[in-house]
Amino acid sequence: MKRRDWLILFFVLLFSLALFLLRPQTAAPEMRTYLRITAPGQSYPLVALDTAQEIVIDQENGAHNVISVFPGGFVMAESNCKNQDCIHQGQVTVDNMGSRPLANQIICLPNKVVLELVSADERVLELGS
Amino acid sequence: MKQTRKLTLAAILVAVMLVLGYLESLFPVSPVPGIKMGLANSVLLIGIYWVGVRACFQMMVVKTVLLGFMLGNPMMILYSLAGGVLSLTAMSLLAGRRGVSPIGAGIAGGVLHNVGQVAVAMLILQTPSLIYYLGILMPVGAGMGLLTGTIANMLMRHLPPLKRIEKQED
Repeated sequence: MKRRDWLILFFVLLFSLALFLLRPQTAAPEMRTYLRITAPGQSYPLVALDTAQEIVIDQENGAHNVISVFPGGFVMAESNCKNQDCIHQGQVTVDNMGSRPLANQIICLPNKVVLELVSADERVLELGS
Repeated sequence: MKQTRKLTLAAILVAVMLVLGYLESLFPVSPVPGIKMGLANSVLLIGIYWVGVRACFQMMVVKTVLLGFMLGNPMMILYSLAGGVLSLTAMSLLAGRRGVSPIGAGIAGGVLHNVGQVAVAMLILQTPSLIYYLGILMPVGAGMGLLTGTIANMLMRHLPPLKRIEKQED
């Protein structure tokens, strides 16, 4: 490691620390939370996270995802994608989103489906909001 | 270096990258998407020093497209290309500069590979908040880059026969 190698490393770590500190954090518990679903060519209303239900997303290209909603959170229950990353990303709840790598999101990249935990005004939950 | 020798060396390096890419796909490092060793970066880094930047870009494109068809899908090629172009640009700008060793170039390359992929994901998924994911992916990329840079550094030091052949040619 030469001198400027350390400089590169330093700036990288500084930048990621900034991003890390700015990332969406746990919201106030009394706030109502919703699930926002984004899928190509389809639009979904916000889903209130208060009752258990299953949501099936079928796309024209054969992509198939099943979301399991439970009070306070959701999880990708089923997907016909190849890598199954979205299943492994596990549950999202208000309590665990601060410690998840993808914070408030579950993403199925192959099927282009994004699930996000949001507040009622559709903004991503901000720190202390 | 003779053109034929350069072509041969570039082809060998591409072959090595394909094998490494295949091996990496067999042993995922983590279930979190976007995290893998990126050993091909070591090869590209050596390539910058040995066959030049231009050949390296060609090698990277060939490797990405071939590996994409072998293991993934067209979308994966797009993600990889974005990462590859950014990463290789950074590495070729840094490699050989004063005060920068292959390790520093490797770190920058590893980080920018992840930046490129997240940027494409942000565009395709229309989800700008994905940028926060970089807070985790960038240090991971730096760690992997440190590893691949060190490997490249060691390999270049311990593969002197190639340089000897080169000298005999000239």
